[in-house]
Amino acid sequence: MVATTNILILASGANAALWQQWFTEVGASVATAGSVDAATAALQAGGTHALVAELAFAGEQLQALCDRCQDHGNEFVLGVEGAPGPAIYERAMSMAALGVLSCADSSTAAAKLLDRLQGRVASRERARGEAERWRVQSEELRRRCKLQATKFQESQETFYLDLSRMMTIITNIMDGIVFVDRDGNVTLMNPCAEDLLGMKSFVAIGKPIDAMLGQHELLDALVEDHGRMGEQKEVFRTVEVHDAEQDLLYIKCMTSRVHDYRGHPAGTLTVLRDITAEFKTDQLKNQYLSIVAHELRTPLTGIKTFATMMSKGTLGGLNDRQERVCESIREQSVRLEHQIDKLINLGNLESEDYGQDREVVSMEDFFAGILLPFEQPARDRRIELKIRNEVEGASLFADRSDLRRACQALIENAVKFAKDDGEVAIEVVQDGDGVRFHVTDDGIGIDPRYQRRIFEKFFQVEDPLTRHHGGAGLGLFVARGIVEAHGSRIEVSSQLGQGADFSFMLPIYQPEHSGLVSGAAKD
Amino acid sequence: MQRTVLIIEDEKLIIVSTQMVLEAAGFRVESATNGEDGITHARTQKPDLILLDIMMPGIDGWETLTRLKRDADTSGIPVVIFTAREHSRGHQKSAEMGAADYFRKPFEPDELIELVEKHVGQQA
Repeated sequence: MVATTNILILASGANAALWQQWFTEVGASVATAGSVDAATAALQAGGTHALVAELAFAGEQLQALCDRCQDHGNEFVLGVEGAPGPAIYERAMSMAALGVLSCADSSTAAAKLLDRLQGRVASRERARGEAERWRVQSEELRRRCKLQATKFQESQETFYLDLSRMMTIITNIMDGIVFVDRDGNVTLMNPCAEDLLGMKSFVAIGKPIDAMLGQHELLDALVEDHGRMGEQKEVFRTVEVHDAEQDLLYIKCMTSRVHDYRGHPAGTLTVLRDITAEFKTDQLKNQYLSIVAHELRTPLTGIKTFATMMSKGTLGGLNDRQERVCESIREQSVRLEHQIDKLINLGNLESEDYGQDREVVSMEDFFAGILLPFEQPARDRRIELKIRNEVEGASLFADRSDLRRACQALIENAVKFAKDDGEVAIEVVQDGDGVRFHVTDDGIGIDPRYQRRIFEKFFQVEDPLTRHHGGAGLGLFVARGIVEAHGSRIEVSSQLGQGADFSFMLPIYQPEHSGLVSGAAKD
Repeated sequence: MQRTVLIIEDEKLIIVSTQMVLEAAGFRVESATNGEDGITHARTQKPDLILLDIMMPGIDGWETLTRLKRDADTSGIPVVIFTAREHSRGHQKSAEMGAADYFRKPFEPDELIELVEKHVGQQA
């Protein structure tokens, strides 16, 4: 459907009426303007598709109108009055050069003209629509591009910001960080690591870590730990290092395997931490603990001895109640003694101290009074404590007090986790050339996934804030250290809810086969 | 004849409690609170057994033991090292230095009596 074409006629009297009639007859909508100014105003107001002007108007005026028409995207039609003559054509041609569409000099010509006009207008509208669509589309495209560009820039900025933040942290952190890639080459060494290792990162980076052996005691440890990453996931240790002033530093050296974001092995990471201050504080604390414990132990020895003598009637006869009270004092002092011993032993948790003081110990001697510290806690929960020794007369060559400590840790643990009204059994049975010690309870048992971890320092299966069972999480750690120092290992057999059995094996002492005959050995 | 045990120990409470235990078992008990006095006492009184503490002010138990073993007057008296502190390789050390035995405080009274009887008996 073709929309009505709006035509503005600029002509004087007779022509105006005539042209209005022609164009109205062929279906255009016609408005008239009596002067160039009126026509200009009408064009400016918009809505006009074409202007038909009388040639009689002065050339400049027509030219200005023609320009204006083009500005507004209108067609400009030149009207011609009377019969065409050379002069008129000449003018008309010059006007045509300006973009004038055609001349109208009769009603037929008006109809043709309108037809063409309409086509022109329609195609112009189409083109305009098309152009607008393109404009909108390209605008959208530009907007999207700009958005993408902004986003990219933002993410790039974030990336650099993150990277620089990370590098700032790595550079300024108080721990030394060394990263070695899968091929064994150093790829990162932060300033703190440079100081601790006595090596500049530009010297180390890109070089194989193995090539750094023999330059610094800490580097040697590092090389060794990296070498162990094949079979171990992580290695922790404390290395003693002398600094430039020959002061002793304690450096905690933590090496572990790391993976990239896809989970592929990326290399090994070592964190070096100067723990000299903590180490010294720890030493002081241990000394203090040890002094306090010894101060507590001396009077306790007195209390225990006197109570024992009284309850045995050495100091005269007692009635039943007095005897019970004395026995109770004795029992409590033994418990207290056990706790103080644990306190003293907190000071030397390092396994190299264990099992140093070996002697020949008879099984009977070894077990004498071993249950004493647990009798009352067991009685309170009606737990039966049983000892069954199948290897009477056998002896061990062992550190008596350490091994007792290990056994007592296992017994304490068993009593702690046994059921009320339950049973804790200590059994010693022949096992090949040796004896196997079993400590068994019927309590809550140990989840298989924790059975290795329970021997870790301070490890507790329960959340420390909500747990029901006391303790520091050191008993099994110490027991393991002691048993391993005796060349054996603790084995656990347990299922949740079905109690636990801890056992370890030691060789029986055979004097004729042993070169180790201690002068302090008992008969 | 009543056997005599000399305790060289700086802690009075340990002396008193040991004394009570051993006296109740029929021993005569004498005491010295430092190494020097202990050596003098041993030389003049010739006890049947010496219980010797390690951690003492002045000369310590190891030094006291060395001097006792060096002196012909006292070298024959059995010495039992009697200590609260856990010494690494304390057993080996005391055996190497000529001590008859090594005994840890705190002790069970019966164990103490058994130990003393063993060494005093051996000598008789």
